[in-house]
Amino acid sequence: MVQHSRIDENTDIEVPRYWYNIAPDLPKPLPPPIDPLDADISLINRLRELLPSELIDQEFTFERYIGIPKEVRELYIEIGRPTPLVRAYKLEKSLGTPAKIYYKFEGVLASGSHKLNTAIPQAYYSYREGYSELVTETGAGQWGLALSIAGSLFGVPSTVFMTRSSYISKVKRVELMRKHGATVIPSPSNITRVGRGILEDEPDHPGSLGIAISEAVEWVMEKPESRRYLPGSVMEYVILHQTVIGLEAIEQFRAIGEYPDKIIGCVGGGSNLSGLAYPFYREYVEGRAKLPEIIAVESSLIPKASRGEYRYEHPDAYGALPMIKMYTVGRHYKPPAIKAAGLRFHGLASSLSLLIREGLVRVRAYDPDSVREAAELFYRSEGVLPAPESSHAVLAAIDEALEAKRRGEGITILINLSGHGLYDEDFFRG
Amino acid sequence: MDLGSRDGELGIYIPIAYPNPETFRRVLGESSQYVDIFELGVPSKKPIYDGPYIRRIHRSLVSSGVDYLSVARSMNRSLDGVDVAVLGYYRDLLGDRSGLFDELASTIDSLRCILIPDLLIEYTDHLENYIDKSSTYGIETCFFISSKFPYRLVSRLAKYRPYFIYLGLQASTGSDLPIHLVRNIGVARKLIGEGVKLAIGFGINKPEKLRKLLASGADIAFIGTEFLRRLSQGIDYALGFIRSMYEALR
Repeated sequence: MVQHSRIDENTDIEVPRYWYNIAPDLPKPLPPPIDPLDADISLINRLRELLPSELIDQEFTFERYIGIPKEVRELYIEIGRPTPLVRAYKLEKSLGTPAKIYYKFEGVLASGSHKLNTAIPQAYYSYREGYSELVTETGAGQWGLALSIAGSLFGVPSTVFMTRSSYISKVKRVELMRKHGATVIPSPSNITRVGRGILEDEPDHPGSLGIAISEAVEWVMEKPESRRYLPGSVMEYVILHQTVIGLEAIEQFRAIGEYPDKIIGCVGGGSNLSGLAYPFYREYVEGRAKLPEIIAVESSLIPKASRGEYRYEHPDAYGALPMIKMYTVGRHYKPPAIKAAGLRFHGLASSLSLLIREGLVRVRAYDPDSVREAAELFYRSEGVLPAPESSHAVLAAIDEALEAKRRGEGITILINLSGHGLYDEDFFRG
Repeated sequence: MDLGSRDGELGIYIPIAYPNPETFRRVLGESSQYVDIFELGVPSKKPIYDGPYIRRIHRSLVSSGVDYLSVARSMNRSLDGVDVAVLGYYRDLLGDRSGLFDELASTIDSLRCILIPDLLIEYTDHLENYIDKSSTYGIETCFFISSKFPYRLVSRLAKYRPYFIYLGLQASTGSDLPIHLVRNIGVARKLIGEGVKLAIGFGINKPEKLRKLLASGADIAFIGTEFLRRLSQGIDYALGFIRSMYEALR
C-alpha cells in the first residue's frame, strides 16, 4: 500500500493572524544593540534613515503578539501559505528508523524559500511609508529573490547586492530577480566606497554577506529619502515575521495528534530555525507542552555558534550598523565560497544566540560533502530537492533518526525545509 | 521638598562632577526647586548603553582624573534634600576591585537607590547580591528594564518593592527612534502593577513629549542627553529648559 506523505489535515489550518515575539518569554533579557565605544555618531539613530519606521517599532516592541496586517496576510495566502507539514515516510524507511521525520516545506512558496514570509511585510511597510527603492544584500539569492518578488507585488523595485561567488554560481536566481525588476549587483562592487576599497586590495574577492550588507547600507545612505534597507535575517523583527512557520506547524501537529521531540533548522543568521522553533518554545513557557530539543545546524566552514564567541559585533563587515550581542566568528572573517551561500554569515541573531548561551538550543556543524550526500538521499527518497542550506537540517535529522534507531526510540523529528534546491545545481554537482 | 500638585515627577541625569565640580554643585543647587530626583552618573570608561553624546562626557570626566568621589562627598548641601538615585555600571560599582557601591551608599545623604543598568542584562546572577548590599546600607533597590525584558522577570522585580523600575524607552540614551513609546509604557505598567513607581527615560527632549509619556502610565521621567546638551551651552540655558519641563507638569 502506498503511504501518502502529505498530511491531509494541513489544509484545515488557517494562516496565523499574528506574529509571535519571543523576547517577553526569554529566560533572560535580550541585550540591547549598542554603538561602538569610539563612535562619534549614533549608529542606533542611523536606523531611522535605513529602515521603515514600522519595522523599527517591531524591533523594539514590548508586546508579545503583533497583528499581521490584512494585506500581508492575504498575500501570505496567495503565495502559498499555509505551507504543508509533510511526513518523510520514504526517508524513514530507507533509514530503517523507528523515528518519525516531518518537514515543514517552505520551498513551496512562490520564491522557493521561507524568505518571502518577511519580504512581504518588509516591502509592504516600505511601500506604505512611501519609499521607492528597496535595497538589500543576498547570499545564495533566496533573500534577494524573495524581496524582488515582494517589491514587485507593491510596484517597488529592488536593488540587490549579491555576494560575488553566488552571483557567478546562482545564475537562475539572478535572472529571476531581474525578471521582477531588480537591479542585481555583484558584491564587492565598484559603485560603493566599501566595494571599491575591497576590490583595490583583492580584485577577485568572492564577497561575503557582511560586505554586501555594508554596500547596501552605503547605497541607502546616499539617498535615504527614497531608499530603505531591508535585511533578510538577524534582526529580531525578521524572526518575528518568520514565526508564521512555527505557528502553523503547531496547529498542523495538533491536527494529527503528534508533537515533535526535536526541531532542527539550518542557521545563517538564524531566522528560519527561530521562525519554526520559537512558537514551540512559547507552548513550553505557557505550560501547554514539553520543550522539544532545538538543534541549530551550521556549516563547519563558518562555525560561528560552535566555535565563535558570544560578544558584541556589527552585523556588517564595515561597522555601519549598530553592534548586537551574538555568537560570531567576527565581521572580518572571510567565509569560504561554499554553495550553501545563505550560511556565509559571520553571526547569529541575538535572541537565538542567547538561547544557545542558555543551553536551550544545541548546535551542530557539518562539512559540505556530508551535507550534499544527505541532500541526495533525501531527494532519492522523497523526490524533493532541498536547498543546500536546508540540507544541513536534513543531515542532522538523519543523524538523529539513526541514533533513535540505535536506541530503539520512536521519536518525532521536525525539520524546517526552508527552501528547495532547484536553482542550486552547482551544489549538487559538487 | 514640596513641588506642588503635578502630573508626574521629574528627574535630571547628570554625571558626577560634570562639567566641573563647581558648576556641577551649582546645577544641583539651582535645579533642586524644579526636580524631584537627581540621577547622578558614575563616570565610566565603558558606558555601553549610553549614546555617543553621554559617552563623550564620561570619557572626558574619566580622562580628566577628577576625584568624583570627593565631589560626591561635598555635594550634600547642594542637594537641598532632593532624592538621589546613583546610576553606574556594574563593573564600576560592584566589580571585583571596586568598593564604589559601598562608598557612594555611605556618602550621599538623600540617596534612595543605586541603579545599575547592566545588572539584569549581563550580571543576572548578581541580583541577590545587589539587593543584599542595598539593604545593608538602608537604601532601596531600583531596577533598569527595556522592552526586551522577559515579562516574568519584570513582574518579579516589582515584588521586591523597589523605589522605582526604570524603563529605558530607546535602545540607548539620546536615541530618537520611531517606537510606539506609549504602548511600551502601557505594557510595563501592566507588568509591574500599580504599587511600584514606573520611571522612564532616554530621548525625552520636549515638554509635550514629557507630558504625553507621563500621562500614559509612568510616574517619573528622567531627562539626560537634552539637559546635558543645553548645559554645555550654559547653565542658564539648561535651567530654563528644566523649568519648562517642570511647568509642563503643573
